[in-house]
Amino acid sequence: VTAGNLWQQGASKLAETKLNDTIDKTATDTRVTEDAEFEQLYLKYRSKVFSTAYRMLSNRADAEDVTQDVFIKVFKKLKSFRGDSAVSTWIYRIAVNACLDFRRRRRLRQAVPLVDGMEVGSTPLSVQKLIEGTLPRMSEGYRQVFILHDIQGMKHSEIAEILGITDGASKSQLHRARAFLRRELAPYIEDLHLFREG
Amino acid sequence: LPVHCLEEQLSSYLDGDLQPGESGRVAEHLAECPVCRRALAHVRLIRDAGRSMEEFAPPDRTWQAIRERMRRRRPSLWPRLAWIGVPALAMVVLAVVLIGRSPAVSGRSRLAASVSREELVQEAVKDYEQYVRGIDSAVVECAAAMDENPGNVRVRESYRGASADRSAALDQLVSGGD
Repeated sequence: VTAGNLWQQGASKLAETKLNDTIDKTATDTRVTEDAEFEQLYLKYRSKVFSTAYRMLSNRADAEDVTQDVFIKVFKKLKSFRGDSAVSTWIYRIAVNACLDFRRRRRLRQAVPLVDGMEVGSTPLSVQKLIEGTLPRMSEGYRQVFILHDIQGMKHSEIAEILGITDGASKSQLHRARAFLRRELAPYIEDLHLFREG
Repeated sequence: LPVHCLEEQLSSYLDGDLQPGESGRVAEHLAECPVCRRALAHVRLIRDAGRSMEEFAPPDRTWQAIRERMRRRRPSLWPRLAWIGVPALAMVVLAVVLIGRSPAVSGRSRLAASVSREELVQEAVKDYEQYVRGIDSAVVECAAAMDENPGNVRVRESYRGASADRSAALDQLVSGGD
């Protein structure tokens, strides 16, 4: 047995018995940390993502699928997220793009109908419910901006970044969206006596 | 016929997006026109309703499905390490075992901080080589000192200590760290 053999044998054995333990433990620790961070993100943004997807797609099952896709993408890209934009803006961008991709795919297949439009009329009406019921009839551009600005409370600069449009275009779409809703809902608002001129 | 405000104009006015001149003209018109005041109130009602719309939480099964998809997608660690090869891995282990606690601790924390494994290997190899050189030079220096002072007890003890360190290191190598 030469010194070289001893070296090789000892080194190989050490590699198997010690490094496995060290790296496995390190990898486990790292994964636990990553998983905990990801779970926190999920808890914080799940409702925002799901609500946005629900309103953009008007279908609960589709919104669930898209929510899954969004968070899988967030998990995969979390390490490479450089913080150039706010986390919320980054996640919303992923969510909006996922919704658009989903709608494109569905339109191509033309096989998955909307099965659960908002149930206007099943409970006492409110302006919120009327809006929910009208969103599916809005054009996509109006709907995106209305959801992100008036419902999710984002700024035009953030929406512009997410949708790849100008601030001015975002404002213009929003004002047209509200005008559309006003035209659609004005009779209901009057009938329901929800409106009182101040 | 009276000229009323445009719908988009009222929405812009509500958000303060109009130029000062135009905003002033709309304000003057609103003061005189009940139809446009009513339209503005409708738009305000819609805007405020949007802000108070509820959020929907996804069902629990969504999180379960995400966890399952994450588990399936997560690649095993070892295939990514395979390219390093046994010699390099061995050097890392030797560094961890022989140098003492500090390299292992720092390596672990650096790994946790996502330092690349290539860097870790290079660092560990460098540390190990330095350690071996340290033992060898200690043995050589002690041997030289013994040649000069063969009767010096402290030099003999130092030589014995350095030799024992070397033996211990070799024993660990041979035993595989057990």
